[in-house]
Amino acid sequence: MSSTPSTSLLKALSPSDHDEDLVQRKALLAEIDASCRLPVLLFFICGTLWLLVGTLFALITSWKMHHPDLLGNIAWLTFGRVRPVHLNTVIFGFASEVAIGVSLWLMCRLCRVTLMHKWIIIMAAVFWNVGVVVGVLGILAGDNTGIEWLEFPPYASPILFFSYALIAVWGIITFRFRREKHLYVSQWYLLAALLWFPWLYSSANIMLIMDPVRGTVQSAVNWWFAHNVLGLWFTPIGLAAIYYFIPKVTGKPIHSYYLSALGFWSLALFYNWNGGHHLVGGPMPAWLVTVSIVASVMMTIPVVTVGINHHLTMKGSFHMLRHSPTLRFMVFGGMNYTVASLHGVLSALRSVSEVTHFTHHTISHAHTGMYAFFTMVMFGSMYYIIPRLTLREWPSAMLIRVHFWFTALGIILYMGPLTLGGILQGYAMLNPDVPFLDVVKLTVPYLKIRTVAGIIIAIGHTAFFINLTWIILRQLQPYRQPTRMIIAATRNAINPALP
Amino acid sequence: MSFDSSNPQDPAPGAIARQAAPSSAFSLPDDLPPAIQRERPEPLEGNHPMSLLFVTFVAVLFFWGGFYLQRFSGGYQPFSYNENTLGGGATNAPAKPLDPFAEGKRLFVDTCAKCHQADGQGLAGQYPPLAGSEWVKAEGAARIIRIVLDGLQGPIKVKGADFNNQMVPWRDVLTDQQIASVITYVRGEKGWGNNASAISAEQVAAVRQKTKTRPATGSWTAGELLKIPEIEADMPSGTNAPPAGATNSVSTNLPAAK
Amino acid sequence: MNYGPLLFFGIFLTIASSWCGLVLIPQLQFGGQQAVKLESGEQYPPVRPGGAQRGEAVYRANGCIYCHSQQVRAAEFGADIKRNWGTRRTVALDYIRDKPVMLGTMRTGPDLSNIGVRNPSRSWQLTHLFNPQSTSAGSVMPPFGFLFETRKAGQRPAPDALQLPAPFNPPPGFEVVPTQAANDLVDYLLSLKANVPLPEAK
Repeated sequence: MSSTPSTSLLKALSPSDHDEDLVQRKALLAEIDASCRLPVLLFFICGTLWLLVGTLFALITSWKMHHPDLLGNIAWLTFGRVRPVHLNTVIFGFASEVAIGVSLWLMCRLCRVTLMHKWIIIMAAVFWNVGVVVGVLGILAGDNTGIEWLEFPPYASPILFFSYALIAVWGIITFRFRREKHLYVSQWYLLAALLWFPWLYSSANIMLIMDPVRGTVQSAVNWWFAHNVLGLWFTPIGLAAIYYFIPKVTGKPIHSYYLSALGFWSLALFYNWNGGHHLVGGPMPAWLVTVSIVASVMMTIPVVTVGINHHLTMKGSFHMLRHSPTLRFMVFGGMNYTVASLHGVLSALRSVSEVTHFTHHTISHAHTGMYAFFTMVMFGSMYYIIPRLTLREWPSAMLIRVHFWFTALGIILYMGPLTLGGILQGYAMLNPDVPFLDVVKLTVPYLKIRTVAGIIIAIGHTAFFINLTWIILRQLQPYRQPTRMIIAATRNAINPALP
Repeated sequence: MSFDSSNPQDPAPGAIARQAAPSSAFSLPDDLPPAIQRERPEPLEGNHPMSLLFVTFVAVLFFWGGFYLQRFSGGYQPFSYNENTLGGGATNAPAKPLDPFAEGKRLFVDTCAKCHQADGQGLAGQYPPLAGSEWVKAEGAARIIRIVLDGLQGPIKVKGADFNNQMVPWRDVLTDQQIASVITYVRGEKGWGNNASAISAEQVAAVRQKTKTRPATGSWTAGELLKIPEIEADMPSGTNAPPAGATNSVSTNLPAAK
Repeated sequence: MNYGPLLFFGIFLTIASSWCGLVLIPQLQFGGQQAVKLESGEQYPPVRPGGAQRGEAVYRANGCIYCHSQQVRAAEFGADIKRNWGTRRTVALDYIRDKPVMLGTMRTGPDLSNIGVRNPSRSWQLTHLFNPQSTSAGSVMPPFGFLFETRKAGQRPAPDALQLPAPFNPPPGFEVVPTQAANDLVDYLLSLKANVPLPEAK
């Protein structure tokens, strides 16, 4: 580990006066990247493999929605097992693993310390993947707990929790030994996510599975947990990434520190109270639902704040979207964060929920948040981070273009029609003179469009996977191997400072 | 739209030149990875103040939140499910008069169509048709009321076809008014070619009373039913008008479940 | 905001607040709710018989929750009651014996809070489970053939063999009989009754 002195970031603003400092800074970044190489790449690769598995299960699920006879009579591939497998592979397999990878790398860079004791993280990655495999097999075998977003059987969750504990403890240690005095906004979000998730996951597991509470309290706990997995785990990490990468790529500071602070604290204050809006009209006391509706509407504050802050930072740099894949995925994700959240605010209102609750509208909304926002931001982050870990450039710009356009247009094709179909379904269900089977038949065309959208997205994922395999496999070859497309990169591939 | 294929990570070649300009007197050592050499400094925060308009917007939202919370929380009671209960916004809409045919159609779709199908044609060999069925279109409703109340078992001939299945009793599930409505609908659905008279809740109530020991014996058989006259002498008269006091809600007068 | 401990404290406090509000207070308010005694002397909600309890596990394992809700909304909110899915809204008491509580968030299929009241026919439920198309053409519900056994018929058909309509029936000489799991599942479905009038369900 180098003995770089701890210096204020502000010095970096005037590099001409601090040339030596700049060299040391950059050398430290290189050293941090090198220390992150194996653990972070491991999370990225496994996460991407889970993404492919999750996409496959998504396609099966979606196809079954309009052709229920597909693989109909195979017990472990029945709709009610395939669907939770899709959800859990993308949530706990893909999204969480990539999120952990991005968080580790960001945390190290922002704290300006190398990744210490990386074997802990590697072990955590192994355990995490074992946990997801065990959980998925458990669901397929029929051990679904029956609790939405917490379907992994009781013998899988402790493995995940153990793995997570390693990561969280490591994160806090890194934070403790930070060499950067200034806490950048991304660090707030990362630290918060790191501390919120274990509370959520352990509470939910204890109160719903190990020693279940009675009656509808379970539903209250369930939705407090399920909504917060998105709100307090994925969203903060996604926002931390946007807050880091937009200024990083554009080279401009974030517009306003005050907006950053307001955005962070209002999200922390309101997002965790949102869960009850999934229970509008249900057997829940009126106050619980009302509190959640108010908190959902108050989410306008952090969403608009973050939206303004990002937009004003981006202003004048939109031309960069043409060139930078990172920025393009980030901005697409950031815009969809605003869309998804304001859409969520609307859907939480009682009068809207009366129509849209229990319909495909909700599924569409969930994908806006999890995919159009979070997943796209994670793709953007990986496009930035992976070349720094592998010391190689992305082999194919064409594959990046395919990845972006197929996923972006695919998810738009997913969201638009399914939102509309859900609203029509909701109005049809509100009319008692429409027989229920007619309501079902009304939705089928929209479900078919959803399958088409899913296939388009799957093509995008395949493109990303090919590019990732390509860049990683070349990494396995000896250095100095001439590869035509990366002449600029191989020139400096041998770095004595790196392991 | 295209990426710079040799280096898709870079924002733009020109931008890099601009960024590198201030430190032109100095160059980074070559042994740093190129991605590190070209990347921008770590992010910083600017100090633009918040606009007053936005602060006002936040304040208004807080005010609204407090109001809504207080107004629609049902007094924060655990078993207060209606958000309007303590807020003064009563929601007890006046009961609308009931159209037995419309209510019967809804009930039919939800309850009976599962077997007899929405078009009343039944399923061949399984569930007998109601459309054009002599059992349904009979002048009096004595038999069909009994079938709905206590179910039917064993062989039966409908429109010349034989069926042998089991129909469940609805005595404890549906109210007199609901049974009357659904039978009125089935008998009067012109789309099926049925055009028999409506029946009233009083008629169902009378049969229910007369056959109250029937559940102990089991469901009816076709043979037993055929011994009962289609029109019973002591039956109250049928009516098309909704009975007084009936409401749109199907929840009225439901017998408590066992 | 460069002071780490303050950040920690804020992060801790915010999650603690919602944990208290949405988890702890509900538990204190109605987590200890007990069954009530009806006028008839019976308990509500009743303890599910063994078959229905096993059926609850079948329902859970096969993810019925992803398409079927088990909650009836109030008469003035949505059309649940007009659709005859129940005679009153469901309340906390209805669920105190459920393990776990499967309220559901989707209605790709109809609500099942009262399916035991609305369609008490065991043979219909079995036929429908075996192949939903046989009773409800156009349904998107998957078939649950794996809960049934298609076997060679004996001299006389088994008493519990399904009577299936024409295109769905097994080849001649064969019969379809429900397995224990199918019967348990139907036991569970038929035990779903939330129609006892309760004062708080007004």
